[in-house]
Amino acid sequence: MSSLKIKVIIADDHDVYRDGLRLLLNADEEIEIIGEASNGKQLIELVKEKHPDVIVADLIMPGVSGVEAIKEIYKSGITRIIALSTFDTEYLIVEALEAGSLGYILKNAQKGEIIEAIKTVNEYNPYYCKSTSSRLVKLISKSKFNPYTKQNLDLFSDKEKEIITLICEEKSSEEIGNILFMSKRTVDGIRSKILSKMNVKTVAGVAIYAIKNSMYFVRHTA
Amino acid sequence: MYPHETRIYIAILIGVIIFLSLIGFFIVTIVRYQRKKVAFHVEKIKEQFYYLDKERERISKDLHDDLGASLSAIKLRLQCLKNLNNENSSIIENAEMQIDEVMKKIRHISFNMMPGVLQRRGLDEALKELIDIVTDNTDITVNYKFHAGIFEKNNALHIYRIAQEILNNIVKHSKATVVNFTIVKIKSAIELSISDNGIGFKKKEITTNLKGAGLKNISWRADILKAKVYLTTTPGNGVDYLFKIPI
Repeated sequence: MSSLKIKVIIADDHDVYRDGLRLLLNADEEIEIIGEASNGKQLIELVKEKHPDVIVADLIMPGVSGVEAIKEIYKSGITRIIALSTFDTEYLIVEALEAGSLGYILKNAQKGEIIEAIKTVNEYNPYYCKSTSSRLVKLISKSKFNPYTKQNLDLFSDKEKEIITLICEEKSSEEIGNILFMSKRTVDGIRSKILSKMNVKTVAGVAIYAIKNSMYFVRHTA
Repeated sequence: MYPHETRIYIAILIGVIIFLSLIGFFIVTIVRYQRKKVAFHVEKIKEQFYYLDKERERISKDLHDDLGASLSAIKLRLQCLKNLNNENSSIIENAEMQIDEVMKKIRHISFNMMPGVLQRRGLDEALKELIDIVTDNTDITVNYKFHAGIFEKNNALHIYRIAQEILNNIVKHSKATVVNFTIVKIKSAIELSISDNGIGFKKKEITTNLKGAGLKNISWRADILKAKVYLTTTPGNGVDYLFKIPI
């Protein structure tokens, strides 16, 4: 049954991190690691040779960097790429998304997120890390990255559009409930409907989808 | 006039000329010496800052890349644990939270030592990030407008450090609510202006002895940039810095 598994290549220059990642991913029945690289050049060669489904690439690597490798790999038609980044290199995440990766994940992501990211990107859907800061949402919304072809805005009801706007303003379900005179449970229900219509998993995903599809406009201070 | 009188006058004249020449020579030598001394001093500071910044860059990179990666790896390994009972899973959760806290601290230290964004994206982006940190963590509104353009790497770092020091001072001491931050190119100079509406200070008291390492650093880095510094402040009336940096 191994052919049904998601074939993954991981690239990171720190052995200790790769070891941990291997341990975590090997424990998942749907994922199979078919190769590991410790720099960008190795990654490009490995991808050519092994044809993975999903690539997880660290952005800071010696020699050919992660961003450069992603650019090169994207050119060859492979799009299911997840950028792996440290907690404070937001500008690099934006560069990686512009270079062709479909999702990103922070190295200090919460339990299960890396696996969720791999499975999401494997379905050709973008993945935005749960711990995305509002600053990063702004940076991505201003960037050239746009995985969305023109969406039919009638997809969302007026109530849903209202809630989308409030989610973009970083309001919690409880706050949204208070504003729209609804119970928190109702808001949660509509929220999960929105997430599934947008095909995203996180609040950052909702915000980026809304901004990229002109459903929400960010006020820039300067 | 008797011939011997003429000789005396000529001798006096020659004496005076020699005396004046000596004084002139003396003054020129002193001025030259002073200039050389200042230039030497600036060169020395420049060199010290060069090595200081280089070392900071190295430590920052080690902290960020190596320690950051190791901590992430520890977190990954904790996430691999299975079949935990409630008690153990809450211990693991706590450990993960502590790792996140340590990572945040590392980020903070590493960023203060050397912001990676400055080297990769240039001065404009680095300053934007610096301002974002201020507005995200305080109630201060920062109005900014800049287009610094491309600087030589070391000069960009000096300008960044000056801005960082001033913003630090504003956050720590000024009680300001609004900061105006601009960098504009005027003729053959870049003008960096940072002003706040805070409590200000007694300029003489602070600047005479350059109290505090922060102000010293600002002044030295300005010297390296050959910048003219204008500081306007009085208690209760905010602080206004203007740097004219020749390009």
